[in-house]
Amino acid sequence: MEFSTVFLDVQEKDVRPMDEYNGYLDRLKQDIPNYYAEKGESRMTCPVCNASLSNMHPPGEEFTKNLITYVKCGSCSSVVAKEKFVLSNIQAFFTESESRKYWMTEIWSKTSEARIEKIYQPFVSWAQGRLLDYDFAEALSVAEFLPNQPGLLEGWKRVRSKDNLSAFASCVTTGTNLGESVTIHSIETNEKVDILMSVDGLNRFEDPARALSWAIEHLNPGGLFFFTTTLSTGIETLELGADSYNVLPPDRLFLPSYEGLQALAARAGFEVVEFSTPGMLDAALLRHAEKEGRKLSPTIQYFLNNRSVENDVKEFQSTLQKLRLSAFGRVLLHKKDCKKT
Amino acid sequence: MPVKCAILGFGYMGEIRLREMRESELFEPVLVCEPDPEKRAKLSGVEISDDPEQIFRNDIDAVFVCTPNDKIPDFTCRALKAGKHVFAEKPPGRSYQDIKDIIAVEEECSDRKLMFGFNHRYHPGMQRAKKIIDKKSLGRVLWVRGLYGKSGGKNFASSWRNKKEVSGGGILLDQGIHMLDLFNFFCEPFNEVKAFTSDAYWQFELEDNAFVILKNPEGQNAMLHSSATFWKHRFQIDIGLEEGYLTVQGFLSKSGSYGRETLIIGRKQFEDETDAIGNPSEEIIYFDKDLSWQIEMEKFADCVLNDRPVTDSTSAHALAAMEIVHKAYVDSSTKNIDSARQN
Repeated sequence: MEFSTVFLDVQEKDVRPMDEYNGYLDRLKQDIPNYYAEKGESRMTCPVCNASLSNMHPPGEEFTKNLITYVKCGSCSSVVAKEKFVLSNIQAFFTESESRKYWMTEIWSKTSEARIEKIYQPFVSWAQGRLLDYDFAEALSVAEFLPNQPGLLEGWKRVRSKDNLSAFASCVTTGTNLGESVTIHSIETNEKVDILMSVDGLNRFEDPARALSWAIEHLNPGGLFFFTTTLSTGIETLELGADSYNVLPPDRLFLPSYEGLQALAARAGFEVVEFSTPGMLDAALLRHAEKEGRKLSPTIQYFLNNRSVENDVKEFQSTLQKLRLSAFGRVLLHKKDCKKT
Repeated sequence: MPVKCAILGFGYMGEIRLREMRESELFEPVLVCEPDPEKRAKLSGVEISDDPEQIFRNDIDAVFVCTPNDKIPDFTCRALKAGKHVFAEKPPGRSYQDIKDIIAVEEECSDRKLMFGFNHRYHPGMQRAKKIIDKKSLGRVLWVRGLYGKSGGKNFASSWRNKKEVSGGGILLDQGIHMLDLFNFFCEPFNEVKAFTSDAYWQFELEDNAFVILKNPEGQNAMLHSSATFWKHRFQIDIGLEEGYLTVQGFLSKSGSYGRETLIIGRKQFEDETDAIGNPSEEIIYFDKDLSWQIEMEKFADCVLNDRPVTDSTSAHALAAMEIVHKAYVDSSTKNIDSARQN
């Protein structure tokens, strides 16, 4: 399994302008009781690795944020919502809630340029580079998972690109700026595509195993699934636990671990071709946490206080990427010609 | 039906070939011929012989010639003439003349397949770099620079590799030829060759360091430092292109001594694009799985089983690499003579 390191000039303000972000958090507090109060059964097993959740790590570790209780799986270290929620309510939250509307009008409008340049375009460049290893026909069928749709089939759109990949690049980055050779329509229930792509969509699924099963069912043999995800085994989440900025309900109902996601993908019948953690913000978020007085381990505290010059921070982030310890995961899965049994 | 194979020579390469055959459905290892009883004692599960003439038996389809350099031309030619397909390790003999002789026999035996073990082409870093180059997303290749060297190693002084009558050449022919093959893999054919060599440390009367500079009519330049005195094992190839650069460093090997294999992809940036001029952000790909042996041998099996022409690691590729080695030796020996005269 391969991995990559990539250094991009992404800063916290590029994706999370503080005033607007705090406004979003305030609205979330108001919206969550409306959409997430109705809870289903408690999980007995980890939705990532299938191990019993009675085996928590450490025993009894659970925490509640915004009325949603999380547990950390003692087997694979994924952080998962303890209860299940009603799927239609999740969808309603992402399509109608005030907080999501605020996110689109206030945060997206202020960050879209930086997000496209520093997150989406590199994602597409990565995918285009990886496709060199595979023999696909010129006319690829590509489906993108829409982040505002929590894993429903209608949430995928299909792009047929006659002109190799440049068309779907613009589709993924802007969502609207499509070339003439591209058409978009809802994917049919039984339709299969060559490529699935998802930027930060997976964490919104309530059942990640179902999401990956669904993905493999809708891929042609030999198809590829490119996605990014926030991980529980990033240094920021490992350090801060319940205080982690990455544990953000309900945008992230589960955060898989590096190890757990590999096992989950294998169970679904995928080969993990690449699993990288090319995040750039872990050190910045830890510094932010320190300024806010959140509890950090003595080692990290010492590092932040005594090795704070720019080159040291870059080396720290570089080391996290090399050790797959950044919270931002980038994954390429391959559906083999025959589904594993 | 798998290719029924004989392996001639059970040294470092013979062991690898047998291991790969056993992991593939495309090959059936029938026989291993090895003169050294200690090496034969390590074998089981396959017919073992100390008689190399056994490779010409009727139940053998293909021969893997994994011998020292001096035996490669003779057995390759005789196996082809005996109706066998041949996979021969590099280098294809001790001299430029050796590969020309092999090609003459190959032309007489056009229904047989001949492939050479220029294995480095199939490493994941090189395969990915080649695809990026062929896609032309970074433009045309301008230049290539390679460093490949080792520290000698266990029993280095007594190795057949350092006996001129057996090997035919020093570090350039033994290890540097892989890098020269990669230069040819990434660039147009080179016609001009300049070189300096020395045997300053090991003094085997074979070069322990070679510096080779190449040029082709397309204006591409290449430079190689091949060394048996690096002390730290090192592999690195830098490829400069119009719109960026690629570097493969480290090398997946059995010992892991060359470090983790990585491909660095950098894109050119000018001052109107970034403040960080001259220091672009790079993507570094880390490879963990070496499928090079498998890919290489599957290509050979595909040619044999499906009667396809050999297009990778062909005798022409072997000839091109040996021609550079030959010219480098000629050029450096001229300089050495001139230098001796001046002194």
